[in-house]
Amino acid sequence: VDNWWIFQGIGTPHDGIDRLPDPPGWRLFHGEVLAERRLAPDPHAERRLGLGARGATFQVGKEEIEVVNAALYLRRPLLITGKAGSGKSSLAYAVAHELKLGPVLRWSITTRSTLADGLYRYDAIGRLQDTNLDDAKLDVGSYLRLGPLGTALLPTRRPRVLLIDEIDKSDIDLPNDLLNIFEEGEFDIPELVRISKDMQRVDVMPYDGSGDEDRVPIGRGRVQCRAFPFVVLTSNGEREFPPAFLRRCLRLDMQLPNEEKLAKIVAAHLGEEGLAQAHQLIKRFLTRQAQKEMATDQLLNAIYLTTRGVDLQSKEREQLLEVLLRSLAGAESS
Amino acid sequence: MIANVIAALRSLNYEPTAEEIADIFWLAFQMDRDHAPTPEPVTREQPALVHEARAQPQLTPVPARSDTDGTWADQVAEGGNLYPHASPSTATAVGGAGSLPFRSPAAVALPGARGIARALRPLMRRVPSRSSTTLDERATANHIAHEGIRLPVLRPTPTRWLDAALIIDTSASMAIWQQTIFEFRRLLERQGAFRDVRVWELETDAADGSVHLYAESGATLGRRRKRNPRELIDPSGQRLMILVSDCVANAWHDGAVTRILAVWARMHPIMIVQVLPQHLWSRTALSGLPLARLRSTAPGTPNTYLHDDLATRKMDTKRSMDVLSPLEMDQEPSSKGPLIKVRMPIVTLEPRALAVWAQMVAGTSGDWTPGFILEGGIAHSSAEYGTAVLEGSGLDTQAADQLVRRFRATASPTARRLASLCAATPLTLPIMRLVQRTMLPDSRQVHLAEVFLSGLLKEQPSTDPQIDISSRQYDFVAGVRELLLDALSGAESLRVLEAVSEFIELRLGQAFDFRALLADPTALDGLAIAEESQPFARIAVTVLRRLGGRYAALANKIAGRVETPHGQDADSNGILSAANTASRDDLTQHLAAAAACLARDDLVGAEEALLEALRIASDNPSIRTRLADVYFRQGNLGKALAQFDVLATYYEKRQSLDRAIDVLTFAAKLSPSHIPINNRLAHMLLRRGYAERGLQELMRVAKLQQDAGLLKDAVSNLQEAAYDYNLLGQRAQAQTIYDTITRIAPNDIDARVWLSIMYVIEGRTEEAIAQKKQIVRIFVQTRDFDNAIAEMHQIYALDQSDTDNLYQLGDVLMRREEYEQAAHVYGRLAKIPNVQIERVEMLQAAAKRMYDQQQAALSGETISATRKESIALLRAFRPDLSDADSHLDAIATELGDTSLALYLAGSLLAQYRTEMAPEAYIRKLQDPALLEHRGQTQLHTAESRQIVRALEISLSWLDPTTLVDAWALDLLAHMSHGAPGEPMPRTLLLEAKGLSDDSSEETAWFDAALKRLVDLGLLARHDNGMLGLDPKLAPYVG
Repeated sequence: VDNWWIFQGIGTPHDGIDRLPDPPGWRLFHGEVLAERRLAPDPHAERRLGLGARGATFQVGKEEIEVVNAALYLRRPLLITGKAGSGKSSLAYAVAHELKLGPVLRWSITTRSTLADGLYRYDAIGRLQDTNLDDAKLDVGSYLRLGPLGTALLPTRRPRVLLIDEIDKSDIDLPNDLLNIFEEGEFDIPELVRISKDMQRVDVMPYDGSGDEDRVPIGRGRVQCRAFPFVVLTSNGEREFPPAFLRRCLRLDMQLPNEEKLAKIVAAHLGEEGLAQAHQLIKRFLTRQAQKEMATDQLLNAIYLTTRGVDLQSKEREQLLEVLLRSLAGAESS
Repeated sequence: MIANVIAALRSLNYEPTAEEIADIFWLAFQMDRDHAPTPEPVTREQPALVHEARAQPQLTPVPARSDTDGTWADQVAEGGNLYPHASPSTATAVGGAGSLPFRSPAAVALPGARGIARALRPLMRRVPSRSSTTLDERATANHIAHEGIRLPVLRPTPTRWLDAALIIDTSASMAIWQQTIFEFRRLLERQGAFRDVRVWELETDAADGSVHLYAESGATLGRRRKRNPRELIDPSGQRLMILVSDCVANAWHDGAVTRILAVWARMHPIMIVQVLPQHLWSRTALSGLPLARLRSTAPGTPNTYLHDDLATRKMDTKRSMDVLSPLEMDQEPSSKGPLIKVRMPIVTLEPRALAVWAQMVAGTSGDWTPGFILEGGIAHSSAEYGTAVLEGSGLDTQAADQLVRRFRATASPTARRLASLCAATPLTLPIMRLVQRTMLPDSRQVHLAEVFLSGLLKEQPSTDPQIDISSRQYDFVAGVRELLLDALSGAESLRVLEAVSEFIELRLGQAFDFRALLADPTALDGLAIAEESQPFARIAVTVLRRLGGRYAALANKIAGRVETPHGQDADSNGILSAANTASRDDLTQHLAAAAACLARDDLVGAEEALLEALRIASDNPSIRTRLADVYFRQGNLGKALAQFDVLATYYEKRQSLDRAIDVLTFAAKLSPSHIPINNRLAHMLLRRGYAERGLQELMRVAKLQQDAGLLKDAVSNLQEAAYDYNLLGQRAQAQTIYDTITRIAPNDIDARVWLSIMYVIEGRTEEAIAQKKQIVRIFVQTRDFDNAIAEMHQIYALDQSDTDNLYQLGDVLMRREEYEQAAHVYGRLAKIPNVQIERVEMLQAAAKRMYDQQQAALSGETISATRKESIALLRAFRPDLSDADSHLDAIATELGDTSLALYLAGSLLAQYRTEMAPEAYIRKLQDPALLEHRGQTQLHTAESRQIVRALEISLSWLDPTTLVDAWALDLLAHMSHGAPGEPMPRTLLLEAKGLSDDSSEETAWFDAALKRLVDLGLLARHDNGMLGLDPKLAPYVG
């Protein structure tokens, strides 16, 4: 463990984030912290990281730790490429869990995702309909919900973790739009700016809000970040990104786990007794992975079902394995 | 210090921006800080080291915020002189790591970019989105004002109409267009017409002759994955496909590309951007293809639905191509012509051509766009000139001489000059561009393309398959370089050498400075020539030697220090020129020895000498040919063939399929029955596109394999042949082959499926049904009931009156416990005239009852109607007995109300009503010895136990010692094998027993035996006279 590391990849939560030095001058943001929310524990972390009696089972390598820390220090987004199953998004959960940064704000990108979706959503129609009723609650904040990106940019003392999943699926404008917002660290909500003379402060709903009452205050219609969020962008390499975008990101290519790492993962998920029976399966998985696209999950499924599951005849077991270890790339041309 | 770091980064071909440098230093500084393990506020006192670092003023000359890159660079440049260069990031933007900041000689690789962007404007349409709506504020306000009701007015969000798939041909000759493609791609991305631009790579010159598609992926992602062309298809059709190519690679000539294009053309508008100017098209695969003008009627029309003007120009065509259906367009059956046709707009990267095309795609003009009808499926002989590109042959100087002469006759003067100048340099793209820029500033990319198309070049095999395009090494075909150098004056060649030398110095830092060496040849002593400089040094030797005098002296000196390149082709003048002096002498000796041995017929000596020679030049085709000859003369055919095999591989790897074919043809002549060689030849012929010869050869090989008992291989080859014939539209041949396959491998489903499809297409319904029934039989045999059911439904679709099919379908459905469906099928059956209505109704009733039971079981009820039906079934055979007869009830109980068992019992009781009374039957049933000789495996269900018990009793009435019963048992055994449950005509059974339908005694016994079986209920005689064994009985008889 290098002593400049904030994130240490150990899996146990700690307060190391408080040691994070102020950002370099060119990444300093001045949002005013209006209120700190109490963050609920991440419901997905346990499943993602295999948290349980044995501690976190997600394995982080040295290279990953270093790049994560560099991104934390520099307040730069981290662009992770790698094949399916290499644990790209799990890394975001691992950082959030260990550094106690609250639930991961996950934004899954589709071809139709736009920057506006990530920032906030304003339910103009709902509001309009409600105004038809006389006893309308005319609080504009009830019609405004921040998106994952908007929530991540809320001014807080500790950075939030924002996972922008499969950015390579996006349409052509999104990377550049994101680039700008990451540089600025702030955005306006025109609906609130318009009324800011009368209402300086409006309480709106955050993306990860626990209910209608869980609100965050926004002053003068502008969201301005304080601690720049830890942003993880994942990509399956479906597209190239504009050079300017790449220059603003730190890049990490996650390798598929090797035998040693797989063994660790298996042991962590299924215990040592599971590992003892699984060595042959791991070997078989690796030879197959060399030719086809396979995810680590498939291996875990296979090991679990064949060692823990139903008592199977050897032939049925073989068939089951075939199904479980089928390539992900179904469309691959012969 | 900062300057050093920047220099170090640059040496890694990384041009950092000011902000990146600031990041790097800041982080390094943070990492060095001594972090206390406990969290502390950041304002604590800094250690001395930090103060020192902070004291460097250039490190953080940073204002609180900076908005753009530009101001940043300026500020830093003023303050700390971080960034002396005016323009950042030329290198990384162009070619990624490893490429040099060289731009193509012309100032821009894509002239008229602005015009092109304008030309694409018609594609900028916006269409209403299908998924998202936006509030129309103005309309909403109006609505509220007028109506007084606050209701929002929503409209579909306008979105960009198309996305673009840019598909780039990555064959070797496309390398020179990299920059053009890059700029075109950037233009597409920035022009704003497309929702998205994705780049795909189409490998058209793969060693195995097929075409592969890859997604362009981040350079870091390692191994590329082949993609299925269908992945590019967007079901909504709102995708434009643009293929950038020079249409030169092999796959263009043999139609492999066209086949992929045909897939896309059915769903999407697609066009080819031809990077070569039109006057060079005659040297590409486009030569000889029918030119056509194309036009669309609606926006975004897929190519298949474009109109062309071929019909109006060819008056003899019966039907206008306009009215050809899409299917016919893509697969026009014809006995000799090519099969697949694709209407394809082909334009150059010029604003005017693109504008016309864009308007056609946008549907805004009815103008004609020029294009071609691409044809695939069969190879047309390509212009040798075009395919010769980068083929490494070079066995004889004759070829080199001819190549150069042809090049000089056809190429433009500038291209001729360029080729000569390049002869004085090692050939990589950056160097060739350098030569263009320094020596021929007026030349353009097209001229470089001409040199690439000349067939004078070949690509050096590289160990790294994903080598960066700009570091690929090319070389002239052996002998060509010398001929080209003849056209160059000494002064010119020296100037080229100088320029290149400078360039290499720039690139590698440490140079092979031949000017210094000229001044002081002794400097060469003790000087090692770096590996990267080796290619240049080798060329320098050639060039300098020709200059004579002290140049030649230096050349000889350098030559001693140049290593032999690995894997370089030997050329004609011999085998020798590539080897270095020492091994060259050895080679000469070995070859001379071999020749001497041959002269005195010492074959063993010759073999040894040649093997020695091979050890020095292992790849040399000429030596291998001689060795094969020696082996042949020794009578060692196997070894000779092995040499030919290696030779063929050698040529195959170098894309010289024709040569490989020559070698294999020769080898095949020597040994016409050698399966591997002939097999390889056949496949190579097909790959090269010699369809007819290849298919003949393939059929011949299949026959050889069949004779040798290699049935699996034979079938696989036959299937391939049939598939190809089918693709070529030669259905008759394909059918014959499939017929052959079904004979060799009666259970080959593929062949039968194909046959049935062909029969259906040709309207030969009966034959189609016959094949389908065989398919059903195989599926039933392999217990693949789902497929069997699907096939039987198809049969029903072909012939609704086929009762056998429906019986079987019902039966299989019953076995699958799909009783409702079965009942439905029997219902259909009941409507067919002349059907055995009682039987059908009985079956239908059974199905319905089972269905009710099933439902009842599901809902937890029971039904007691079963017994009634069982007794009714028995009474159908013995109407004389009363339905209150306790014996009938007892039999039904014994047999568990299993209808098939009851049917057997009923038949027997009717047939032997005197010999066996119902109570005797019951006693028989209860006899424990009845099932003695049946294995437990046959009796694993209650149903099978009951059926077997009834069957045993019925069989016990057949006495094998009497002639007729022996016949009957034999027939039963026969019907339970092969196709159990499959109804057969009597004639077929007769044939199977070697009888003919006459009045002979045997035939009479045969008929008597059949009657016995039918009487006993063991065989069912169907309405059409066919005889069938109930499939449920099949496992237990015989």
